[in-house]
Amino acid sequence: MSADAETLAPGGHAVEQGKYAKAILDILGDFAQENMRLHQKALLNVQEDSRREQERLADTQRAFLNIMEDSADEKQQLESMQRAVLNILDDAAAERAQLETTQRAVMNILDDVSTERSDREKAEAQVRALNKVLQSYAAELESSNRDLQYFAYVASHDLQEPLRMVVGYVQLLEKRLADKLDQSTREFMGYAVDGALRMQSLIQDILAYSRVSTKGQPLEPVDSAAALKEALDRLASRIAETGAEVDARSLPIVMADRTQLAQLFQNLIGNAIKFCRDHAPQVRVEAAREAGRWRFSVTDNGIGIAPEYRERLFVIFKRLHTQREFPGTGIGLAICKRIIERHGGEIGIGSAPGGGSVFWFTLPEEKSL
Amino acid sequence: MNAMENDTRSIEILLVEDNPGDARLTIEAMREAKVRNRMHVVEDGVEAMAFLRRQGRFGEAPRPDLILLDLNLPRKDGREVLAEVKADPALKRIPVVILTTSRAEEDVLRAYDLHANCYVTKPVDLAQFMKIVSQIDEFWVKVVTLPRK
Repeated sequence: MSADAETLAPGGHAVEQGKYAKAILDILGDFAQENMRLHQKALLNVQEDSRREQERLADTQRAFLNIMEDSADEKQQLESMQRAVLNILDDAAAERAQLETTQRAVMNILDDVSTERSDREKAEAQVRALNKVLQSYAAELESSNRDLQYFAYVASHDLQEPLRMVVGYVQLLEKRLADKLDQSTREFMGYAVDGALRMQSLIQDILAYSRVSTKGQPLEPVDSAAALKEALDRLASRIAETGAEVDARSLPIVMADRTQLAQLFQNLIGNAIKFCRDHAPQVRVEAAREAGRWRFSVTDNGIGIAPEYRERLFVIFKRLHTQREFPGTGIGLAICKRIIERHGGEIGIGSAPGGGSVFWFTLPEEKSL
Repeated sequence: MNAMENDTRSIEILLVEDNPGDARLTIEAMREAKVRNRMHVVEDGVEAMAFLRRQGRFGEAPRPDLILLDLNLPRKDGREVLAEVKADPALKRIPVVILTTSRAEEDVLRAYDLHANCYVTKPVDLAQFMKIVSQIDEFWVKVVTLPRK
């Protein structure tokens, strides 16, 4: 400033200089005022800018805070998610542990199974070996059965032809020479024919005996009363001749081969009627239930059988009496025993209170289907 | 022969039986039964078929009215003869009576399956056998109507 006053001073005088000074001062004042105003204005602008800046900053800060807040929320969410994930992972780990336990258990089971399997395989191998043995037995049995059946066939045909020749021609001689034969010759011829006829009955009986197993039918529910009736029908003439009374009481349905059951009744009741001297036969047929089976009894008032002979009664062709006392071949009870054995039952004999016999046998009860 | 017998022609019977004793017994039984017949006997199934087809030494053989056939025969057995006869249009109308000692159920069924006209078991007892032979005669010769030759 002092430099500016120096410059002005050389050309004026005091008044002038005063005026100048005043003008300068005014100018300076104006200038200063103007400057001031400008400064003020600039300052205001700056202030304004600064305020705006501050506002922006505050906005930014708020935005930032919002962001921070949001971020905190998100962080919380994230954390809870993380916790959830951790929980899930925990659970998964627990499950895996469980799985591993299970897996070990399964492995153990598999081990056991494979042990068992090898055990079973061994057992199976043993069973197969046994089966082979059984099969070879079965094959042997089958072939011996075939032989037996063939034998039975041969017996029914080939063995009878020679017998027919003996009987036929002796009888033809007897017929043609009727007038010329003496008593002895006739008697001899009679024995020849009787022998051949007896031989024929024996062959027929062996056949009947073998047919029990070879011609047996499968067991099925059978009304034993109907089978008894069938037997009584076949015995009708002998029942009428002897005046026999046969009393049957409430007979059950059983598992049986009907034809064979009828034959069983026929043989037992036939015996009861046959082995009865001097009085009318009385026969009672009953059945009582036992565990899983029925026990039948045929009680008679006949001659009875001493205990010491009871065993051999069921053996084929074993007899207790001469032909003269009671004719027969001794096949009836052997066939009965074979029939009962085929039905998986038992047969036996006891004494009736009146001195007669009681034949009893068991048969399986009707199976519920 | 008297006049009455001439009214009915005598019938031709073919007996197929390998046992001569058995064959003779049947012939005797026929004689006892007073059957007017001509009995021709052959001993096995091959001869039976040759007789029926008039082959070889049987060129002049008559066609039988009735065949009595045993089942168990040498060479060709009775079942084969029966099957062949019943399968041959020229022979199948000839009645075949199976006359055998077999009572076996399988023989009976088999024979009827092969269209045997009847199945008869020969009894051992002579009197019964004669009765049966006379019944065969009575039925197949006098009762039934057979096809004309």
